[in-house]
Amino acid sequence: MDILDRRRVYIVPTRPGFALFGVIGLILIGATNYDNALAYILSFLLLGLMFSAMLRTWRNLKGIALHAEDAAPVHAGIPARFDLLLHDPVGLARYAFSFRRLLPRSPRFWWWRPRTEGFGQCETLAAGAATATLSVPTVHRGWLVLGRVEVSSQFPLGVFRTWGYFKPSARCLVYPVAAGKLPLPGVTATAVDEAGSAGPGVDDFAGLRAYVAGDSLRSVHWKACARSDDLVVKQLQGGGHGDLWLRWVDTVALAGVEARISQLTRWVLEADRAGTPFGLQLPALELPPATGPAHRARCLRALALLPT
Amino acid sequence: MSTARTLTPSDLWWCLGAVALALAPHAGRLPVPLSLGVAACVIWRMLGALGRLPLPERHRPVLWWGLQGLAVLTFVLIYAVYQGQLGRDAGVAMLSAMAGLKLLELRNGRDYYAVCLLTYFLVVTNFLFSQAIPTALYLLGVTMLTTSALVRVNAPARLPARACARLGALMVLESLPLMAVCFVLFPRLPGPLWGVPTDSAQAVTGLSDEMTIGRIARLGTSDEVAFRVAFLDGTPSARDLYWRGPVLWATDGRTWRAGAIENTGAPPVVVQGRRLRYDILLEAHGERWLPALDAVTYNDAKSRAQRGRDLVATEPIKRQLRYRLESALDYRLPDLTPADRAAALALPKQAHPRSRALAASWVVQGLAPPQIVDAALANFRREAFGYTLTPPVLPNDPIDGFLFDTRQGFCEHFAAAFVVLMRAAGVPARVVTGYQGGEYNTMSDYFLVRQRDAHAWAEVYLETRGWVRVDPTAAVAPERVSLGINTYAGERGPLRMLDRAGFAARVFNGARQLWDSANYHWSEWVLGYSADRQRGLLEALGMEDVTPARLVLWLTSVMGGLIGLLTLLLLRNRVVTRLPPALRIYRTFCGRLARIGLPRSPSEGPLEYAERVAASRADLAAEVRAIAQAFALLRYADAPAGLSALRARVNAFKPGRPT
Repeated sequence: MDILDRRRVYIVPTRPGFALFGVIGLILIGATNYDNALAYILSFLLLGLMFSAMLRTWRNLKGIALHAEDAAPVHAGIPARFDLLLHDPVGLARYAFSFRRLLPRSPRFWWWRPRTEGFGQCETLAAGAATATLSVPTVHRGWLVLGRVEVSSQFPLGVFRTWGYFKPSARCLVYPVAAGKLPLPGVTATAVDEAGSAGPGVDDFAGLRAYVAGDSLRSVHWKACARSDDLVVKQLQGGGHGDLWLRWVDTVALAGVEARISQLTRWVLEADRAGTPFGLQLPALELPPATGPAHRARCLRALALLPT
Repeated sequence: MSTARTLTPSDLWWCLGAVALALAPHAGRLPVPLSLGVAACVIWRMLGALGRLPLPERHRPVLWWGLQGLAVLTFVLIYAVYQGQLGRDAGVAMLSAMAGLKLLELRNGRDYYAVCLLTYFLVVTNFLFSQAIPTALYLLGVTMLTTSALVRVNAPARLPARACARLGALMVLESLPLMAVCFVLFPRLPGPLWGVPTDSAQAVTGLSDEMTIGRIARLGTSDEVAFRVAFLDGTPSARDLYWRGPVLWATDGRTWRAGAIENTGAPPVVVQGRRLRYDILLEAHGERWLPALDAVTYNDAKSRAQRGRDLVATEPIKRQLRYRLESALDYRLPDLTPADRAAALALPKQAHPRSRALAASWVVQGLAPPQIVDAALANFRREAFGYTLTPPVLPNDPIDGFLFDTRQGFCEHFAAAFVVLMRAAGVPARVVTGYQGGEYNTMSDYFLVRQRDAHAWAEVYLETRGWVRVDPTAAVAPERVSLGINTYAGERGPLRMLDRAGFAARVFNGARQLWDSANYHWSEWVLGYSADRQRGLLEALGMEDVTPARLVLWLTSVMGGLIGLLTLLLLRNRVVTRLPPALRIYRTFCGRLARIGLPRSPSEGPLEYAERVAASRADLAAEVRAIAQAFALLRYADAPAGLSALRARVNAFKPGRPT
C-alpha cells in the first residue's frame, strides 16, 4: 500500500476559487473606495475562508493509502472495473474523492497537464477504510495495466482542488472483441481422429459422475441431484461424431490478424453458450476440447494474449 | 468539472436561502416593483425545485424568451429610474435583479458557484447602508450559510444537513484570526479611488446651520445619537457642557443665519485656565459644522474656526467623523472689531417694534449692559413664560408675538427673543445653536449626546468680560439645562420616573448603557479604524515609522506565523482513540519491518504477515514468528500476562537491511 505523504499532495485553486479571489479583490476595492470597515472585514474574512478551505482540502487527501485489485477480465470496449481499497491510518472523516487513470504524457506536450481517462468516486472515507470502483474504458485486447491513478478532491468548498498519484500494480486482462460473420465450423472427422474415442463428448449418455469445478451447468443432471445431496453431471460419449474445433486456419478468409482473432472469440462464446465441448487451435497453441467457464476463460486468455 | 455531482433540491434550498437572506435587508430600499419581482423569482425557483412550476428552460421557448425579454426590460428600467447614475442604489438594484434572474437559470454546479459568490457580494452591498452591530451579526450569519451552501454542494449527498451547516460555520470562525490580523495591519489607502456617488450618504437628521423658529423643537423628541465625547483628562462640570454648533449673526426677523459676512477667522484667544482634551465621534449630519466646547485651542479635524469660534469642516459630514479637540473654558478674547460689532447689533428695519420699545425703556433707565442682561432675564422670569415642546404658531412678528402674546416657546424662541432685546438695547449679541449636556456612560467613560439635547442659547459681548454665554431658557426652565447635571452625578438619570421602580429600572438603564457602550466601541475601533487610528495603534504597540511598505512586511510576517500555527492545528494527525498497549507495541514492530522494506498490508493478519516476512528473510524468521505468536495470543486469546514479554521482545527487535 502506498501512502500519500504531504510532499506528494498537490493543490491549486479551481475556477470558482479564482472567481472567489476576484470577488475578494472587488470587495477590497469597494472597501477602499467607500472606506467601509465592514467591507474590509468581509474581504479579509473571505480570504481567511479560502485559506481554511485550502488547508481542509489538502488535509482531506493527505495521508490516505490506496490499494487496487486486479480487475475481472472484460471484452475490449467494455469498461474495466478496478476495485480500489482506500485506507486512512489517521481515522479522519474524509469526503468526496474522485479517481482517474493517467495516460502517458505525449512527448511534445509533456509540460501540459496529463490526459486522463476513466472515472471513479468515493463519497466517504470514515473509520479508516472505504472502497471505490474505478472504471476504465478499454480499446485493445491484452493486458491493461492500471498504471498511475490520480486521486483528487475538492471538498469542502470546491474552491481548491487537491490531487496526488498512486501507482498500484493492478491490471486487467482485456479479451478481444467478439465479431465476425463466419458460421461456427462443423464437427470434423479429423477432429474425431485426433481427439480419439475416449474423451468425453456431447452426444451419448455414458453415465453420471460427481461435479467438479469447471463443469458446465448445462451438463448437471438436475433430476439426479434432486435425489441425492451431491451435484452430479451427465457424462456423454462423443462417439463417432467428434469434437468441435475452432481453428486459426478456418478464419483464413478474413483479412487481418485482429479480425481473425475477433472471429475466433465470437466462436468461443457461441460454442460455450451452446454447451458444446470445443477445442481451440492457434498458431503456437492448442487447447484440447472441454466445456465450462474455466475452459472458456483459458481460451479467451489465449486469444487476448496472442501476439499480433 | 466544477462539481462532481448534479444538483439536488436539497442543495438548492441552501443556495436559495442564502440569497434570500442576503437580499432581505434590501427589500425596503429597492423600488417596490423590483423588490416584489426579486421575491417572485426566489419563490418561482423554490416551486420549480419542488416541481410545482415550470422553470424557463430552453425547451419552453415562450417562458425562455419571455425571461430574456424581462431581463433586458428590467435593466433598461433600472437605468431609466436611476437616470443612468451607477451609484450605490442603482448598483444594488442591478445586483439584486441579477441575483433574482440568475436563480431562475440555476441548473448546474457552475451556476451554483456563481450564485454563492454573488451572495457574498450582496452581503457587502448591505454594509453600504448600515454598519450597525445587529446588521454585522446578521450578515455574518448569512456568510456562514453561504459557506455551508458551498459545503453542501461539494459534500456527498448523504452527509447530514447539520454536518454541512456546522462545517460552514466552523470554517468562517476559523478564518476570524486571519481576518483580524489583516484588518489591523492591511495598509489603508487614503481617500476614495473614484468619486463616491452622492447617494451613498445616509439620510440624516441633525441641527441645520440656520435656525427657523420651530426647527429645533422637532429634534427635541429624537433619541438618535448626535455624537459621543470622551474626555482625555478629566471631565468638566456639567454646566460647561455647551457644545457649540453654528453661531448665527444675521436675522431677517424670523430665520437666523451665519450671515454673509467676511470671515476673518477666529480671533486669537488668551487662555487663562486649564485646557481640556477630548475626542468626538460625530454621526453624519449632512452639514459642515462640528460641535466643540468653548474656545478651541487645538483641532485635528480638517476644519477651521469661524469668526464666532464655531468650527466648520471643509466638506459636509456625510459619514461618521472622529476628531480630537482641545478647548479652554476660561480665556480672554481681543476686543470686538467694528465689523463684528456691526453684525452683532444688526436688526431688520421696522421689525419687532414692541421689543425695541421694551429694550429702549431699559436704555432710558440708564442701565449698563450687564444690568440690561439681568433685566431681560428677569423679564422672562417675571412674566408667565412657559417652556413647551409644542409652541403655538406665530404667523406675524414671531419675536413680538412670543414676548408679548403667547409667551410659550422652546429654546430657540427664548434665544432669539433675548438676542433681539439685547441688540435693540445696543448690546452686541448673537445666537449660538448646538447641544447641551449629555448622558454619561459609566461603563465606558464617555458622554452620549442625542439629537434631543439640541439647544439654542445666546452670547452677549460685555466690554469687561468679552463674549459671555447667557442661556435664557435656563431662566425659565432650569431643569431643561440641569438635566445633564443629574445624569453626570449618576444619581438620577433622565428616566427619573423609572428610577422609582427600583431594580428593574436600574437593570434596564444598565443594559441601555451597555448597549450604547458596545456601539461606541464598535464605532471607535471597527468602523472608525482609519489610517490615522492604525498608525496610532501600531505606534502604541511599539512599531515605529508606520509606512505602507512596513505594514505589508508586518502583515506578511504575522500572517505567515498565524498560517503556520493554523496549519499545525488543522493538520495535526489526531488519533481519535488511544490504542490498546498490545496493538501499540505491535505497530512499533510493524513500523520497524516497514523500514527495512517489508510493510504489512492492512489486510494481513499477524501470523500471515510473519510467514511472509519469514519467507523473505530467513535470518529474522524465528524472532518474527515468536513476536507474532505472542501478539496473537495477547490480542485474541485474552492472555494479559505476556504484555511485558512482548514489549521486551519488540524493543530488542532491531532488524537490519538485508546484506
